[in-house]
Amino acid sequence: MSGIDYEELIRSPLDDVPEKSGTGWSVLIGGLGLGMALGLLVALGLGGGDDEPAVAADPATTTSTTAAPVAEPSEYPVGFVELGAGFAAKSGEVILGDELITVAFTAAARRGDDPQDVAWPVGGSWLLESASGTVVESSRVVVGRFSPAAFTVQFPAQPFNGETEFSGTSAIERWDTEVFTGSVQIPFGGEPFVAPETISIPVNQDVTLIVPTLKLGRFLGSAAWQTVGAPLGTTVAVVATLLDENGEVIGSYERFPENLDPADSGVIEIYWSEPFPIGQEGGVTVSLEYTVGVVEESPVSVSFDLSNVPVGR
Amino acid sequence: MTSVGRFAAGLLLGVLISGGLGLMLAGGDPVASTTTTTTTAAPQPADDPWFEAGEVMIGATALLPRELEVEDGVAFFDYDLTGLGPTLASDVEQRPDLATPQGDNMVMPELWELTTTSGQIVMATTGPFDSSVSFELPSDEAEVAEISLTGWRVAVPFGERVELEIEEGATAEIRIGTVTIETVLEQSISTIVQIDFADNGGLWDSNAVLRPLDSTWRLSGRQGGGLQLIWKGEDAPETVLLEDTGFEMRPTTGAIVVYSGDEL
Repeated sequence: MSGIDYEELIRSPLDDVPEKSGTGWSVLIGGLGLGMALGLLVALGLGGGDDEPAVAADPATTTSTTAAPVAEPSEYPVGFVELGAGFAAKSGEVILGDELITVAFTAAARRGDDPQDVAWPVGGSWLLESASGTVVESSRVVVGRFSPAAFTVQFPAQPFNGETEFSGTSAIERWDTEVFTGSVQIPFGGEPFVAPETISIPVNQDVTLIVPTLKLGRFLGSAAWQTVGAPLGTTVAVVATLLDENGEVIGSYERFPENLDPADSGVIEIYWSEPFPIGQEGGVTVSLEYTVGVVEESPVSVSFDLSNVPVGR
Repeated sequence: MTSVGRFAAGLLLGVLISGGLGLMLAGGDPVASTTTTTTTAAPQPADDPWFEAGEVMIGATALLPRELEVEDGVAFFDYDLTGLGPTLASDVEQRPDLATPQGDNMVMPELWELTTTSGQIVMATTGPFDSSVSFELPSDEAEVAEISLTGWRVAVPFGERVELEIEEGATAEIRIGTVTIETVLEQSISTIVQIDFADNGGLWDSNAVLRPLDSTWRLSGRQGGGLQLIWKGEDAPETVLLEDTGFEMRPTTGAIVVYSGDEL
């Protein structure tokens, strides 16, 4: 030892103040009691009093909480993947066939949009990948003719050679339609009516709609059509409206609404839509209203997981 | 140590002990209190209904519970269906006015399960055009605890194509039935072909809608899934290529609670 009196060095003048009997431990215990009371109050104040989970109470602890961002309502239902502007799809089943493997989808319009106004694509190209890595391009996209909310993508089955597990499918090209509408008016000579000459309508600077034959009968009508200048084809619909000499509408020949496959020619059956016995009497003009969807391809990259999709036959 | 020091030591010790005790009483984790905690709350899932509160979404189809009525030991559960699917329907404006514009629903309920408050289970089925399901309860006194949808159908278009020779009796099979050329009537300047379709007999199978792919065939009528075609001219082709543009209603199973005691 160095001989230094450490006890003396750390002595405080107050140490010389005589202690009251028993006050040494009682002060400690008193402090302990007050401290516990204060600590308990602080802890309960921090951690209790409501239903929120407690957080750290040690004064040395750093606690920061970032408020939850306000989530926007989802644009599509759970499991749907956006496939284009304003619509999404969800794969529901893989159906195995001898010649084709069909992947079934259902579609949804974006929240708040009117599903009637969604321009659903008319086709495209997809890839199907099996669990073992085989990849095959689609042979056909089948859109529900009376409801685009259901569509399927079909793939040749042969390359998969009996494989039944599929990891995913992806759209690589989407066929959209740019829609052009308009009308032409031709004189009406009473039914049965056959347009006297071919009707040629420039749809845009590239595409021309040609109607070589327009027939309007008492209840049925038809319009043969061709389009030129659209390499991937068009979807064409017409409505023939009869107008009287004042330009007032008498009635229309319309077609049942359905999805149309792209083509470069066809014959459209149209039906006199007015209730019997209203006829075409008094009609002097046919207004031929056309809707031409010019098919365009858009490269896309949208993937759908098939690993948990049921497989059927 | 002075009494002040002892008091301070006691105070500190008391705070530490009671702090931990307090946090334990309050449900906190005293161990965690010694660490730095940074909490970033995850975005809350959106719970905004698509159509109305109480809806049950099945994919893009919404089942809207309407009424549960129990009478003479039978429980009637009424519902509506609507959906977010793109649609060609022209009558959407005439449907009930809901917050979201209504589109097609691709799901149709088929199998149901009702659980009574005593735990008994009753099954029921519905067809493609139903909007109400009825359950025969085990007793007149039985009360409904829960109703679940356990099976439903989803529309799937296959677009099957079959080629038929233009001769009476020619047939071809598609997934959901048989296509037969019933009558061929050759006239001087036209040929009329009557084509019948017989489904396989299932409740959900009669959705075939045939059409000729060659649009120079004129469609002059439809009946029961079949159709009548007219070829104008003397050069009628030897075959006709038909496509089924309808749906197959594919079954799916699951367990989706559609009623759990809430007031409708």
